[in-house]
Amino acid sequence: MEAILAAAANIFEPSTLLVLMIGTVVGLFVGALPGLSSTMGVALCIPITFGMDPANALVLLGAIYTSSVFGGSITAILLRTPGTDASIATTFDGYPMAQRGEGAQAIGMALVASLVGGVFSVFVLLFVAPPLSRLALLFGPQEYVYLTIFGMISILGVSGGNPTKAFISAAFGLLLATVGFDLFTGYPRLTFGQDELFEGVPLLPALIGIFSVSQAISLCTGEADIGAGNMIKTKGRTLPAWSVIRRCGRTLFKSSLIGSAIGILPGAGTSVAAFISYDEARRRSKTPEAFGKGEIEGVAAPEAANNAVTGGSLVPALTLGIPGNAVTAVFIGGLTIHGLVPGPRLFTDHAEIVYTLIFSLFLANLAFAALGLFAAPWVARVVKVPSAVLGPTIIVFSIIGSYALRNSLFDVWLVLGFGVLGYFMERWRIPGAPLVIALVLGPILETNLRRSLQISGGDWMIFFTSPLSYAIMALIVLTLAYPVFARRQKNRREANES
Amino acid sequence: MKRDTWVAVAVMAIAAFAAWDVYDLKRGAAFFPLLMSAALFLGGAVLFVASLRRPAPAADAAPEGSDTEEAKSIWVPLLEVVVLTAVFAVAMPWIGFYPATFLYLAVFFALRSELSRLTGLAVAVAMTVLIFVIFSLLLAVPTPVGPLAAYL
Repeated sequence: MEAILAAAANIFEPSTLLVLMIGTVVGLFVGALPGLSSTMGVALCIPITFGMDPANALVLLGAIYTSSVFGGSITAILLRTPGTDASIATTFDGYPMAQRGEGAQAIGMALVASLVGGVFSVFVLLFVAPPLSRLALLFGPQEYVYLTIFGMISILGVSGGNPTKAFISAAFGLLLATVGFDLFTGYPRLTFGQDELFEGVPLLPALIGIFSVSQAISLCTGEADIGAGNMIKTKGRTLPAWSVIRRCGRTLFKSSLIGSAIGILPGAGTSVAAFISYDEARRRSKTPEAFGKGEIEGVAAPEAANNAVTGGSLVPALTLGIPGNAVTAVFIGGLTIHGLVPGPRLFTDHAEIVYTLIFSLFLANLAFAALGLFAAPWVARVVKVPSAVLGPTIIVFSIIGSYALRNSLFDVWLVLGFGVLGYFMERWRIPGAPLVIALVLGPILETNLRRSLQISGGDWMIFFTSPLSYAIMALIVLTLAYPVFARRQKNRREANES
Repeated sequence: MKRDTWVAVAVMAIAAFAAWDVYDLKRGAAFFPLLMSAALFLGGAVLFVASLRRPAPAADAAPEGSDTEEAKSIWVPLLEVVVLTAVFAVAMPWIGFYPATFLYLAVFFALRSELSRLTGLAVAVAMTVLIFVIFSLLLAVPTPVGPLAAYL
């Protein structure tokens, strides 16, 4: 309780509020710029947090994460150019609304929905994370082995595209995670005589390289041109009428619930939540035929869901140290450079910092809503920045950011190497997220696997002894069985329809 | 060979090399890297077989993993970007981070943007100043200074 009160006081410190506002503005622009993702925004800003105290650092990263998800919807509505994947579903009805001259109302609904979804997810984080962290204190090494396997399988299942390539990406990440001194024996592994690799592949250059530099290279070469069409001008009242909000109330609540649940589960992210909620809203609507033609509920559903993912996705990241998606993997990178080890002890050892983050997410939701209300048309103009200016600037930011970690030129080359690797992975349609998540999960998996076997004297039956292990095992089986089940259901439905 | 076939061969080669590098480590240190090498090799092998079984693409189509898609490559601009950035990284510890940043951006804008020479220079100066204000003045992040910078 003391920690909660101290955090509540912290959040209103002028420096914290300033950091929060900066993070919100940066997030809005990062989100609005097609080609820049929430993950990239958070990754690029981690080096900026070096000199900050840990609480403010997390407030900055949290604000960028939260507001960038909303920022993408502004350009999705006004330009039919979703700033991030999370806003693709918003274009379906947001842009037709804007074409009809209701762009301001569409942005207003996106604002309200994002605010509702975001605040709902913060409540989920506030009330689910602490009990989960207490439960996680009961986890032994074998449960952590299952948890990391569960996380990896979920990520592979929903990473999209070719599952073999997602598997290769994850396996490569797990292999890279073994680079450096073996924690149990002290043997250097896969370091090729490089002193800088003795402590392992540093997470930050890998994150920045895969998510930022690779995208910046695409911008520089003109492949990811952000040049968008003509922006539709907004006019009229922005905030939707109370009767409209009431009509969408059920959709807002259901989408927030879907988004938070999807956020908690590893694998799926903001875009999956937005699509599922959009589909659900259309199926339950009395006028499903209006969807896709400028139905305001079609804006409310994906926007509530994608922002509801933010708080939910931080639940497993903060309580278990298991990132559910790429942006929370980056978030974990941000925590570790400030000496904070994500996991159940975070809520006991650094409760004040964690609650400051949670409360700041409330304020970040309010801040982006307030800013978005007045600044949306100006934020949308950011897409006019030429790719050839944005690309090299991001590369310079990435280089100085990775250098600042430990004043090492080796890390500069590492970030460029990962950038080129990430660029080719994208071209070859090998997803980068499993690699980065595997880099975070690899040490957890190896340490707990070997610790379990040490405890049992090499007996693998230790993995089949505790009820908690069986529970997580059941989740793994369900995750593996779900795609088969879903495919059968779909085939059956199609057969019935035909 | 199709692009995916090459990718699969490269993946299997990386896995085999990693396994070779760690296999003689004692006391369990090799266990996990070997396991992951095996997983990576398996993934490469599955991709290899799948790429061979996939029918050759039509000349006008460019499906995933095909050579025709690669034919529309952007190797020249990519090489320009990579070489310019590599020169920037090499120059940075010699001439200092901020002079290198200015030169990198100015040359980049001149070569790869549609900005006029003067606008490009002005944007390069503005960006360098902005980066200096953020990283050196506000955040006090140490940057490479370099021996040549002492003479500037």
